[in-house]
Amino acid sequence: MIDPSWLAALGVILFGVGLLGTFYHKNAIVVLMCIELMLNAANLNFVAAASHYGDVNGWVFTAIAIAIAAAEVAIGLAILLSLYSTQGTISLDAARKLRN
Amino acid sequence: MALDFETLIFVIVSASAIAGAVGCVFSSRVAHSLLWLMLTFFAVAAAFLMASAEMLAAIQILVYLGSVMLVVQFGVMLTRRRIQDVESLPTLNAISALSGIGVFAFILVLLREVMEHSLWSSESPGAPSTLDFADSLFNSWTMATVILGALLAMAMIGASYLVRDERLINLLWDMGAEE
Repeated sequence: MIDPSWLAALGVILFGVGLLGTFYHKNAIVVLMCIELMLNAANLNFVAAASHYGDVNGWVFTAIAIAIAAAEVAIGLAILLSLYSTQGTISLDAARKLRN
Repeated sequence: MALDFETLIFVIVSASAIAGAVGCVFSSRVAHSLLWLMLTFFAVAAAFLMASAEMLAAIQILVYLGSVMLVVQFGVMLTRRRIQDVESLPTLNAISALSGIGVFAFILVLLREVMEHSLWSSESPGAPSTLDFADSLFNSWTMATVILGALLAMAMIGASYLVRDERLINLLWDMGAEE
C-alpha cells in the first residue's frame, strides 16, 4: 500500500485546482464540475486516513458522500437547464432571478 | 534510491489526476472540460485502489463515471446547444490573477501541513477489508443508508419536476389529443 500522506497531498492539490476553477469560471456547469472535483479531493482524504488507521468509517463516509454528490449533480443540472429555459443564459454574472 | 514499482504507478496516477483537473479548469468548451474531469475521476479511482479500497474504486467508476458524468455529458450536449457557448473561457483580469496567487499559496501551506501532520507518524494497523466495509455499512450505519436511499429518490423526483415541459402542445400530446 502506498504511503497515505501522499494520497492526502494529491487531495490537497485537486482541492486547490477545483477552488481555482470556481473562482475563475462564469459558466455555471463548469462551476458545478469544479465543486465535484473538490468533493472528490475530500473523499481522497477520507480514504487515506481510513486506510492508515484501519478504521472503516472513513470508507462509509466516502460512500455516503459519493451518493450525495450524485443527487447534487442531478438537482444542479436540472436547476441549470430550467434557468437556461427561463433566462436564456447560465452565466453566473448575467442570471439575476431564479423565477419569473 | 531506486524508484519502486508502486511509487512509479502512483506518480503516473497523480500526474494524470492533476492534468485532468487543470484541463477541466482551463479548457474552452464545457464538453471538453467534462471529459478532462472524467480522466481525473478515473485517476482518483486508481488512487482509491492503491489505498486498498477496491470497493470504493468500483463505486467511483460505476456511479461517477458510469452514470453521473455521462448524464451531465448527455444533458449538456444533446439538449440545448447554446449552453456550451456561454463564456466557457475563464476570465483573466487582475482580481482573478490575485485570487490565483492566493489559491496557490493556500495549496503550498496546506500541502506542508498535511504532509507533515503528526497523524501519519503513528504505526498503521493495515487497511480494513471490503467485508468490514459491508458490515459497517449495513449494521452500524443502517439508518444512514436508508435515509440516503430516500434522499436519492427525492432528488430524482425533484430533478424530473424541475425540467418538466409545460408547453401546451406537449401537454395536449400527453393527454392523447389529435394535432
